[in-house]
Amino acid sequence: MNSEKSLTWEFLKNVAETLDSFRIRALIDGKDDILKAGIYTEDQYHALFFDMFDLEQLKYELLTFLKKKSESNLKDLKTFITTKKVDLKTVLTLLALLKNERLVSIEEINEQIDTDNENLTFNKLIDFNIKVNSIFPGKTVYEPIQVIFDAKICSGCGMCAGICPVNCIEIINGIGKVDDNLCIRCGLCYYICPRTFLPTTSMHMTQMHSNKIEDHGQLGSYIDIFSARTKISDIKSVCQDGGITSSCIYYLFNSKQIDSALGAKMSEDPWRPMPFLLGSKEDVISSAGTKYVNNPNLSLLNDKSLINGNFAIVGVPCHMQALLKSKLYNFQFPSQNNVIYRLGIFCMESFSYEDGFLKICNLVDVNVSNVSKTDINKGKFFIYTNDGNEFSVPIKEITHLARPDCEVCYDLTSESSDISIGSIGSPSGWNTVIIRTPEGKKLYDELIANDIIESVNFNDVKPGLSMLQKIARSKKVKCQKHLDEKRKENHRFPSY
Amino acid sequence: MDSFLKGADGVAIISCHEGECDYGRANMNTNKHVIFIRRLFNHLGIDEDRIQQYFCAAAEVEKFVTSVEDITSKIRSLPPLPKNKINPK
Ligand SMILES: Cc1cc2nc3c(=O)[nH]c(=O)nc-3n(C[C@H](O)[C@H](O)[C@H](O)COP(=O)(O)OP(=O)(O)OC[C@H]3O[C@@H](n4cnc5c(N)ncnc54)[C@H](O)[C@@H]3O)c2cc1C
Ligand code: SF4
Ligand code: SF4
Ligand code: SF4
Repeated sequence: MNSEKSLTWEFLKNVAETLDSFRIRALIDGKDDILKAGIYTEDQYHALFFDMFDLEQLKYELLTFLKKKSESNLKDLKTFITTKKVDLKTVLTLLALLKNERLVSIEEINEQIDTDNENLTFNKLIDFNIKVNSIFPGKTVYEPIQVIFDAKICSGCGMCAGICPVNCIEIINGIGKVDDNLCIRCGLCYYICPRTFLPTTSMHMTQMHSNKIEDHGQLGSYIDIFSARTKISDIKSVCQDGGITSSCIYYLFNSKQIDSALGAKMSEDPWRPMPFLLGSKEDVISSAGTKYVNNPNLSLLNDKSLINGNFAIVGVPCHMQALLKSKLYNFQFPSQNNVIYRLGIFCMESFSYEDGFLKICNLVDVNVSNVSKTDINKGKFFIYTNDGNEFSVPIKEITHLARPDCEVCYDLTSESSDISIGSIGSPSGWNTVIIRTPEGKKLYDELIANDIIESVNFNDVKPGLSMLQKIARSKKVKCQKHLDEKRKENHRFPSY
Repeated sequence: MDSFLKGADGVAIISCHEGECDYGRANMNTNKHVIFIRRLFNHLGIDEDRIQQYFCAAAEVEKFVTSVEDITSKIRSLPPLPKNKINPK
C-alpha cells in the first residue's frame, strides 16, 4: 500500500477521474443489486471492484501522460513504462481500451515482411502514432451490449452472461437477450466481450510470456506442434478425431488436478449442444464429439461450484479470446483464479440450430434424430446415421448457412489457449495439437509420460503444416474482408 | 473528491439522522458512498479519517460544534495533502 507521503495532486486528480468513470460509478451505486443477485459475494465484489479501479486509474494516468504531447510514439510509451514501473503489455492493453472508448486514436505503423512460404507477406508492427481525441464529454460513456447482438457480430461465447453481476443476460440459440429491468448498466459485459475490442498484440505477448512486440504468423504464438491420438479405448469409440481433448480432461480428473471442466453436451434436442459442467471421467465420455452448433460454454462461469476447486475449460477460439481478455483486464469474476487449463479446439465456423444444422440435415434428407456423427473434412460436411449410412455436402454449398456472426472471426486454431486441438493437417483419426504455453506443455508431457496418447512430430505427417497455415490464413483473409466491408458500410465491427 | 482537488485536507459531511431526511433517503445513500470512499482511501493509501459523516439534527447545535471540532482535530493530526501548484481552480 502507498503511504500518504508519496501522494501527489495529480494522483488525487486521477482518483477523481476514475471515480467519475461510469463503470466504477455503476459498480458503487449497484452494490446492493449486485449482492442481492447472489452471483458475487461481498468479498468477490470488492475483489472485482478494486482490481477494476486500479486498472481504470492507471488508464487515466496514461491518458494524462499522453495529453502532454500532441502525438506520442513507442519511445514515449517507454518513458511512461519506466516512470510508472509497468510493463509494455499492460500499456498496450490500456491503449486498446482507450482506443475503443474513442479517447485516443492510434495509427499502427507496420513494416512489410516477405516470407519464403508461398509468397506470403505479412505486416510487422513497429511503431505507433497516438493522438488524444478532444471529444465531448472527454470520458467514457456506457454502451449497451445489445449493439453487438444487433450488429450480428456476437460470437455466442456466453462470456457476458457468465460474468454479468446481476445475471440478466441469456444466450438463447446463439442470440443474446438482456433483461433491461434488472440491468444496472455497469457495462462489464461490453468491457469483457471479445467482439467489442480485443487487445491482440498484448494477448500474443501474454501467450509468449514475452514483453516484446513480435510477429505471430498464421497460427498465433506456440511452442511446438504434434500429431496425436488417444490410447484410451473408451474415448476412441466416441471422440471426434484423435480424442486428445477428451483425454486431457480424462487425465486431469484422474490425476485430481481438476474438480470440474466446462464443455458442451447434447441437449434434449438431438445435436443442439448446451453448456455442461463435467464433474467426472464418466462425463468426459458422455460429452465427447463435436457439435457444430454454436454453444455459449462460458455462460456457466457463474456456476457457484466453480469457486470450490480448480477447473479446465474446453472451447472454440472465441471462448479462449474472451478468457484471455478477461485475464488481461484483471477482471475478477469469482472463479477467475481457478481456471487452470484452457483447452482450445479449432473452429472454422459454427452453425445455428434451426437456420443452419437442421437445414443441412434437410439438404441430405436425413432426420436429425437419426444422425450419429457429423464431421467437416476435406472440404465436405459429413453426416453419419444410426443405420450406418454416410451423406455429405460440399462446404461451399452450405457456407451461407453458417452464422453470419462468425464472419468477423480471425482465429482458426484457438490462438489464446494453453493447448489447441483440431484435425486440419493430420491424417484421419488423429489430432493436430498445438502447444502454446508452459502450462500446455506440462499437460502434454504428462499425457505422454502416463502412456495415455500416441504422439508424432507434425513435420512427419501429411498434409501437415503448410495445409494448416494455408487454411488458417484463409480464415484471416476472409475475416479482414468482412471487417473492411463493414467499415466501408459504416456498420459496427470488432476492433482487433 | 472535488474538495480535495481544490485544496481541502479533509471533508466533513453533516446530515440529519437516519429517517429524518427531508429528501427521502439522501442522507443514507450518502452514508453508503462515504463508507465506500473510506474503504477506497484505505486501498489507495489515503487516511480514511479525511472523510467523515456526522449525523446531526438542525436543533442539535452542540453536536454540530463537536462534529466540527472532531474532524478538525483529526485532520490537524494528519499532514496536509498535496495541492495543485499551478493555477488552483
Ligand atoms: C463449431 C466447431 C467447428 C469446428 N471446426 C473445425 C475445423 O474447421 N477444423 C478442425 O480441424 N477442427 C474443427 N473443430 C474441432 C474438431 O471438430 C474437434 O473438436 C477437435 O479436432 C478435437 O477432436 P477430439 O477428438 O480431441 O475431440 P473430443 O475428444 O471428441 O472432444 C470434443 C470436445 O469438444 C467439446 N465441444 C463439442 N462441441 C462443442 C461446441 N459446439 N462448442 C464448444 N465445445 C464443444 C466437447 O465438450 C468435448 O470436450 C470444430 C469444432 C467445433 C465445435
Ligand atoms: S447486462 Fe451488462 S451492463 Fe447490464 S448489468 Fe449485466 S453486465 Fe452490467
Ligand atoms: S461475443 Fe460473447 S461476450 Fe460478446 S455479446 Fe456475444 S456472447 Fe456476449
Ligand atoms: S468461427 Fe469464431 S466466433 Fe464462430 S464459433 Fe468459431 S470461434 Fe466462435
